[in-house]
Amino acid sequence: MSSEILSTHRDDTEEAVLEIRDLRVSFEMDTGTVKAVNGANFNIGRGETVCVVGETGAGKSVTAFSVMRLLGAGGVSQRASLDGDIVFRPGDGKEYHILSLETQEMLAIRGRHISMIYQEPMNSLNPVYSCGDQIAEVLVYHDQKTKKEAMSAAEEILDLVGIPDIRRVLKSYPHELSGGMQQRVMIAMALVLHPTLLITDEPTTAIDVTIQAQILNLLQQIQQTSGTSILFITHDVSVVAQIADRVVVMYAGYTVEIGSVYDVFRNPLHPYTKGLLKSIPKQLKPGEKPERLRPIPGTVPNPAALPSGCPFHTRCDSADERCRESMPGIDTAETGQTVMCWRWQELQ
Amino acid sequence: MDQKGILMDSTPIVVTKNLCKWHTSRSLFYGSKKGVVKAVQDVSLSINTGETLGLVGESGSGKTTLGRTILQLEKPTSGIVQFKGRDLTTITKKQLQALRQEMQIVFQDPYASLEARMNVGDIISEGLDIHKLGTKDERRERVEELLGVVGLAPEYSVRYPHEFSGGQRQRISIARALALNPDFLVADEAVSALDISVRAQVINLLIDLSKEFGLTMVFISHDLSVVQHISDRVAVMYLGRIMELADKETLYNRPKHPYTQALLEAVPKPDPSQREKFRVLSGDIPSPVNPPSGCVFRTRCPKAIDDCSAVVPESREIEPGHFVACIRV
Amino acid sequence: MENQDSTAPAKAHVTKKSFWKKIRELRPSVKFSLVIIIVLSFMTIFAEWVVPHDPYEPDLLFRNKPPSLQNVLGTDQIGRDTLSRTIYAIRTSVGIALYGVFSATFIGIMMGISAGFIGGWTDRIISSIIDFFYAVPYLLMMLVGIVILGRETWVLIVLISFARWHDTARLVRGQVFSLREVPAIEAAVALGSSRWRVAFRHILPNLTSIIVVDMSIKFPSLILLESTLSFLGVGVQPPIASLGSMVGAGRNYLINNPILCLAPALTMVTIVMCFQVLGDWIRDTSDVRYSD
Repeated sequence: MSSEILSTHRDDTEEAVLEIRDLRVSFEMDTGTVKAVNGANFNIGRGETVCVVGETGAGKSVTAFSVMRLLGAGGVSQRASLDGDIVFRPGDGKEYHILSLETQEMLAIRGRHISMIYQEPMNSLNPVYSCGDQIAEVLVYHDQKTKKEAMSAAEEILDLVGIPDIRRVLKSYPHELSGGMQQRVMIAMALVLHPTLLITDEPTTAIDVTIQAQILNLLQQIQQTSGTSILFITHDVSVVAQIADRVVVMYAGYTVEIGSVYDVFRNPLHPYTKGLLKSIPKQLKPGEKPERLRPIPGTVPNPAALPSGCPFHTRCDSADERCRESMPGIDTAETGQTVMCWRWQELQ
Repeated sequence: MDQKGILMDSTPIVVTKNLCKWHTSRSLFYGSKKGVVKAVQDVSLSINTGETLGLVGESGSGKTTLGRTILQLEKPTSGIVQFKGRDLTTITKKQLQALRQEMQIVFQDPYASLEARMNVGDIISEGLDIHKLGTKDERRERVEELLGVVGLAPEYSVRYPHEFSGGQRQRISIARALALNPDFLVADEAVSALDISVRAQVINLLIDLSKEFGLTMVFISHDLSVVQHISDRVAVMYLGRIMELADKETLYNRPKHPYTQALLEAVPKPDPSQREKFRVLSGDIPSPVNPPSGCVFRTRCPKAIDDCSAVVPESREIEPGHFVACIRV
Repeated sequence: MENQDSTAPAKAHVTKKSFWKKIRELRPSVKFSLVIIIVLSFMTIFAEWVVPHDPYEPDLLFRNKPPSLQNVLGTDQIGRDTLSRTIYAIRTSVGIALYGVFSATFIGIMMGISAGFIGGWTDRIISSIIDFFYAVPYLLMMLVGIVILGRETWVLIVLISFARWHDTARLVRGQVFSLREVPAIEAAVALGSSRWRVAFRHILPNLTSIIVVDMSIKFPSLILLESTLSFLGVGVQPPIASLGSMVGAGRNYLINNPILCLAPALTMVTIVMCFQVLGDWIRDTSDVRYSD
């Protein structure tokens, strides 16, 4: 089951599906430059689920959009400038450097090898096309299937994602379905071409708890049966605990801690991670009284005006002179966790 | 004595009897059929002075509508709401306006709940202005005092809302609500729109303030772990009805209603070593326009039998203080 | 105290650009319009001192004269100086239009707020009246009104004050409906505010930018309305000059004294266009995204 511990020491013969190296993304706005991502570094292995967790302004969604090249040249936002390298290996031996691909090459990858689902399914599905048409469109465009072939593939995938009454859903328009069903349709659309990498941007944030449980079950099932790697973006730490193999903690555009989900939850190294875990109300055992929460003081910094030195120092109660003045480098602990902090060892 | 360490008065500050709130959605054309959304159905509840009552539910549960209807921000379709013994549904508008000093609300959206054109000082003191309390100087002092109470610097009173972050804005909203010294506060998903680290700050603030000022609070949320942290008693709602009501300890550890049980199982635990397949409820939440007959939960209930569709289950006290609305319990 | 939020407000005060810099950065058409309007305003306010001749004094020996040093635009059919008359006419037309703008806006706001805020039957009745005004061409209504009540200036003014109120009313009503749901407004109700206080202290200030835009759009159409009526002879009556009446009167002299028509007509076109440009600009700049 999913209680397998996945080592953070990846076997070097097994190359990563996705490698993000020193990704930096900034936006030129009228009011100044917004530095959304300032140095993201992490990998995703084959069949692995990596959760990127952080609060507003952490840069997690921007990272995801960069992987899909939805920003910058040929993308949705022209004001973005991207630096760094994103390497993608779909598993056919080829290696793509996403940030330097031609638009045509990216179009072939997007939707087929890398697909994405979003936070609010109601806003991400096209309201004027039926669900069946939208799923079929993916197949027709990428695989050149005929409409009929595409529709039967759509039926199969809807069955896979657990939709009852498939015929009806194929003909329905998005607004006729409930939030949970819409999310499943979006997952179906994303999976129909068996992508190597599935990116999910806060897919359960806007959904009710009982429906979220259904979707998480579905994702767990997908994790086990297909070999799809998942990049799961969320701010919900509990969801991360349930579904991640590895965790990437982001703050103010930096990846401040990376490790296996067990290591990060049992023994967080970065003060921000520690603070985050202490901010969540614990599940109380019978008879246990709730302890006072120990929140991180202050607020997330404005990405247009980041503090000097370590971006977290303004809220860190262990910050010293060095933290205020210079940016820490990335250290690796024995367990394989990486952490971006001057004082992590002393604070263990 | 309760866990807050203050003597909880056993006289209820708010009592609702068979409270119903139905919305009729406007039809586009005169004469065509209108949909009726049964947001709150037949809710009878008493809230004790000094307690924090958590109100949980998913979409369509009616928890927000219940909170607003108690405060008469929406007029009940039928039923009674008593505040400190007075029936709010029958008093005059002027009397209601005066009573509003004693019952306040904090809204969910920190960005939409503060008037963009007013500065923080005016926002907080608006209640005082409306009820003509205090001189200009007294009001200014009170604003500074309140800013301090919610953890903001007194100089902020001249600034405008758009200069503040979400968490700070919620603090301003709380200050505004406290300005009139209310006894009763409804926190309508007050922390749901905030980042996790900020959420914890505001949760602590609400707990501290309710202790310090002896507030009775109704904490509405869909987040079960936050509710468990902050409440004394918890009511679980589904499609406009209360399914179960008990003190926190009982509800979270010995839930009796199938919906409560399913809800608690569905919440992801923040512990990676406790990973099990979620035991999920099948199906979707029905629309409140057409709730199922009889027990509204029967369409998804693993314990449903034929009789469940025939009659709406009454809320029975199966042990002292523990109410469940289910015929199978 | 742990609960202290000692961080400074999230956004720093943005330094405002200097006023003159903002003016210099405007589009050329907007700058041009602004200049014209300022000049015209100057001329109309100080009309008595600006005009070279008395616009009402006829001189029958100098009828329909072409432009000369003495009469820059020539004279009209009974020898009055065209330029002077045009300047006075601007004042009349603009004055009537301004009055119409303010009263129509006032009526529109009152009706819009009542409909949106009170709702129910009040809303249904007011909406029906608004629909009526949209359905029936106002020009016709005004003509009927003039026929019934006479060709007096006061009639004109009263009727103009009801022109185009329905635009404002519909706009305001829609805004009131959406604002009613906003938590900031509800908070005022929750604090115990009376309905009127909410309407005037909370809803109305949020409408200002929309109303300003609406007024700037209304203005040119009211100028045209008055001019149309005066052109037809049922607006202002001689000897008072308005741009429209001058065009109407000069119609008969198009061949031998075209300036009589052209001067007021061109002036009117210029004024209307300038206000259109300004109105567009106001609308563009007041589309403030309340940055959050």
